[in-house]
Amino acid sequence: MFFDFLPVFPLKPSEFLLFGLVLLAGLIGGRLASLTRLMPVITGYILVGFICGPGGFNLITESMLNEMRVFVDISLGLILFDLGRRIDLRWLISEKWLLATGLVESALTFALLTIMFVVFDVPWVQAAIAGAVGVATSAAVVMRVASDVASEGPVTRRAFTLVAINNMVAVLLFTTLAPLVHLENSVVLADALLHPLYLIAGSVFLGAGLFQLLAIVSRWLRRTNTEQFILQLAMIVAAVGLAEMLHLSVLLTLLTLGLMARNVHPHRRLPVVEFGDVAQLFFVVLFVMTGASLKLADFSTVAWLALVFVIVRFVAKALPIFAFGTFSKLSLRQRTALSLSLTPLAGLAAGMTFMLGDLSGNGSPALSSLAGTVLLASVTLMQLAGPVAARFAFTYADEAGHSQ
Amino acid sequence: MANEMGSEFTSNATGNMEHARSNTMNDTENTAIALIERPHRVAIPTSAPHPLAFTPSTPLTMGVELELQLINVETQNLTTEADDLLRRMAKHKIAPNLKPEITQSMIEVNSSVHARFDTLQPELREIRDALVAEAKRMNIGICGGGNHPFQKWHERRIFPTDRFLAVAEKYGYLAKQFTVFGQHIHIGVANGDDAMYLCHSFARYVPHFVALAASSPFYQDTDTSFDSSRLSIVNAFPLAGHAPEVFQWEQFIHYFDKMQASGVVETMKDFYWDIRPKPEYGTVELRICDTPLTVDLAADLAAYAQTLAAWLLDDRGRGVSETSVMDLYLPYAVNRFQACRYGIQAELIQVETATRKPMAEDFINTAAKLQRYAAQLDTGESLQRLSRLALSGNNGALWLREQLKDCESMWEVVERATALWAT
Repeated sequence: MFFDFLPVFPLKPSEFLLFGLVLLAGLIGGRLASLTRLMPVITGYILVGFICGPGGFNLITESMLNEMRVFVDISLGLILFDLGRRIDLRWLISEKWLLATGLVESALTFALLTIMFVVFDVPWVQAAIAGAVGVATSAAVVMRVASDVASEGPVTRRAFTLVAINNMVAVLLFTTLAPLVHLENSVVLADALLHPLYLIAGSVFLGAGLFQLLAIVSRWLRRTNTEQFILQLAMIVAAVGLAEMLHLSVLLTLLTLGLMARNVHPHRRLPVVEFGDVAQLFFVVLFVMTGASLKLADFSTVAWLALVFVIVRFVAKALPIFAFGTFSKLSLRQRTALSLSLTPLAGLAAGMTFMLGDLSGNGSPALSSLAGTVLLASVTLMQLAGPVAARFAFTYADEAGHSQ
Repeated sequence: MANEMGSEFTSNATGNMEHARSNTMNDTENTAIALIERPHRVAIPTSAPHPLAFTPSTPLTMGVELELQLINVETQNLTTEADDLLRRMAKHKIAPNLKPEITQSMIEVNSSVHARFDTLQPELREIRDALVAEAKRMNIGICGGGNHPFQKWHERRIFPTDRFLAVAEKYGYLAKQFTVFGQHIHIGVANGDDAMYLCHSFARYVPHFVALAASSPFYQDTDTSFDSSRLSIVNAFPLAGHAPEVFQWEQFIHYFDKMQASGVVETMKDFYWDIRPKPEYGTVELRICDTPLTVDLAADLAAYAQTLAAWLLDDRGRGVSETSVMDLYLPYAVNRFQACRYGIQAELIQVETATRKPMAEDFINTAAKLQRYAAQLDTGESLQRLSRLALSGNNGALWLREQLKDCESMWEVVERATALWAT
C-alpha cells in the first residue's frame, strides 16, 4: 500500500482538536458579544455553542458533548465552591432581613410556580418538582457575569447570598419531592425516605470531610497563590468526582466545601485564592457546552407558558426583595437591581443538571412532558436573556467596575 | 488625601468655643488657657474681603480628620462602597462628621472642634463605633493605617463629585494612587500671622508626628522598608513640600495672589503642603500623619499638637523667626525622609549643633519641655502614652510587621488591623 502513513478518511477529530476549536469559537463569540456593549461575554459563548451544537449545525455532536462533560463538571465545581466561599454566615445570621428575603423569595417562588403548573393541569407532585427547579438561580451565570464586569458592592454581595440560599432550598425541595414520584411508581417506602437523607447528610459530610483535608494540606504548603490554587482546584475536582461516585449532590458538597473555607475558625481559614486565567478557560468551555446543550424543540405550544413561568418567577423573587429591602436599608435602585440579578434560571448550566438528568426527549422521569417542556423552554429563554438581565442589574446598581 | 473639613466643622466650632470658655472662666493664671481666651484681632472690612481673609478662631482649639479604609471582608482588599456607606449613614447622628474622599474605597471622618482632649477622644470613639456598626450590617470592614498593603491602584474608582473628577482629570493616575490614608490635625489660631508662625514652627517637629503615626510599611504586596510609605505618594504632587518662608499673613496673601495670577494654582487646595494655613477655619493644618491603627492614638497625636502649639505660641523664642527659618528648612526634607524610612529609630539632623540625635530621645526631651502646658490642657497622659510608644518603638508599622511575621499573609494582616480598629 502506498501512502499508508496518511490518515484514513473520513477524518475523526481528536478531543484535543475539539477542545481547541471550542475555545476558539467561544472566544470569537465572546468578543462579538462584548462589541454589542449590552451582552455579556458569556452570552456570546452560549450563542456560539448553540450554533455549533446539535440544535444548530451539529459541529459539536452529542457524543462530543459527553466527552467534554468533564470540563463542564470541573467548571461547575469551581463556581459552586466560589459561591460557597462568598457567603459570610456570621453576616447572614446578624443581617436577618437578608436571610428572611432568601427564604421567603425561595418559598414564594416554589409556591407560585407550583400553583401555576397545577392550574395548567400538571399533577401536584410533578408541579411541585417543577416549582422546586424554578427556585434555583444560575450560580454560573450570576457569578461569571459579575466577574466579567468586575461587579462589587451591596447588590452583588446580596445577589450571591440569595443565589446560594435559593440553590440550597431548591436542592432540598427537589430531593424531598423526587421520591414521591418513586412512590407513585411503587418504589419501596424506605428508599423514598432514606434517599433525601443520604443525599443531604452525605453531601454535607463529604464537603466537611474534604475541607478538613484541604485545610491540613493548605497549612503544610506555602501560601503562594499558585500552590494554593492548584490545591483548591485538586480538591474541587476530587469533590466533584467523589460526589458523583457516591451518588451525592455535587451542588451541596461543593457549597459546603466553599462555605467551610470561608466560615470556620479564622486560624483554620484558607487563603483567598484568585482563580485567574486557568479557571477562565474552564468557564469558556462551560458556557459553550451550555449553549450546545440547548435544543430548540417545538416550543410553539408552550412558549407563552414559558413566558408566564419566567414572569411569575420574577415577581415571586422581587416581592420579598422589595418588601424586606426597606429593613436592610436598600435603595429602590438596589432592590430593582437585586431582583433583576436573580432572573437567570438555573437549568442545564448549573447544579440542576446533576439532579434533573436529561430534560430533553420525553422529559425527566420525574416530570410530566408538559412541565418538562415548559422548563426546557424557560431554561432556553433564560440562558439567552438571563445573562443580559444580570449584566444590566450590576451596571444599573452602579457596581460594575469596567465593561469586560 | 488633601480633603478639607466641611462646613460642619465651623458650625460645630461655635458651640464648642463657648464650651471652652465656660470651662475656663476662672483659670486666669493658666497660660495655655489664656491663649484660648486671648481676644481676637479682627480686621475691619474696607471692601469685599479677600478670598484668603483669615477667619479668627479660638487659639488652641483642635479638630481631627481621619481618612479610613473600606475593606472587603472576604478578600481583605479595598472595597468600593463609600457612596453606599454615606447613603446608609445619612440620617445618623454622626452623618455631619462623614465625607467622601477621592476614591470609593475611602471615607473621611471629621471631629467637631474641641478645646480639650477629654472631649475629643470620646467623640472619635463614638464616630468609630457608629461606623463600625453600620459597616458590619453592610458586611464590610473599616480599617485604620496609612495605606492598604496590597490593593492595586488601577482598580480604584473615583468618587463621582465634580471636584474629585476634576482632580482625577488633572492628576491622572496620581489621583487613584492617592488612595492613601492620613490624619489631619487642625489647631485654632487667632490670626493669620500666628498661623504662619505656627506653620513654620511646627515644621521642626514634623518627624515626630510622622514616626509616631507611621502605619504604612507595606505597599503593592511588599514590605517597602519604610515605616510610612504613604508620604512618598504625596511627594509625587507638584505642589507638595512646605509653605513659603513668609511670616506675615499679608505677605502670604501676596504670594498666593501671584501664584494664582500666574496660573500655578487656582485655590489653596492646590497646595499639598505638609503643614498648611487654613484661613476659612482659622486653623493651621498638620497633614503629615498616617491614619493610626486606633482612634486613641489619633486623639493622642492631636493632644501633642495642641500642647506643642501652646508652648510655641506662648514662648515665641522657641519657635521660628524670619532669621532662623532658613536653618529650619535646611534638614527638613532629610529629617522627614528619615522619619518615613526608619520611624522611631530615625536619627534627626540638628543644624544648630551639627549633630544627629535619636528620634526617641528628641521626642522625650520635647515632651518634657511641654509638661507645664500639658498640665494646663490635661494632655499629660497623652504625652506619657506617646513617650512610651517612642521608647518602645512600637508604632503601627512595627505592629503590622509583627502581624505579617506571625500569620505570613497580607490579607490576614488587614483582617487583624480591621479588628484592631474596631476595639
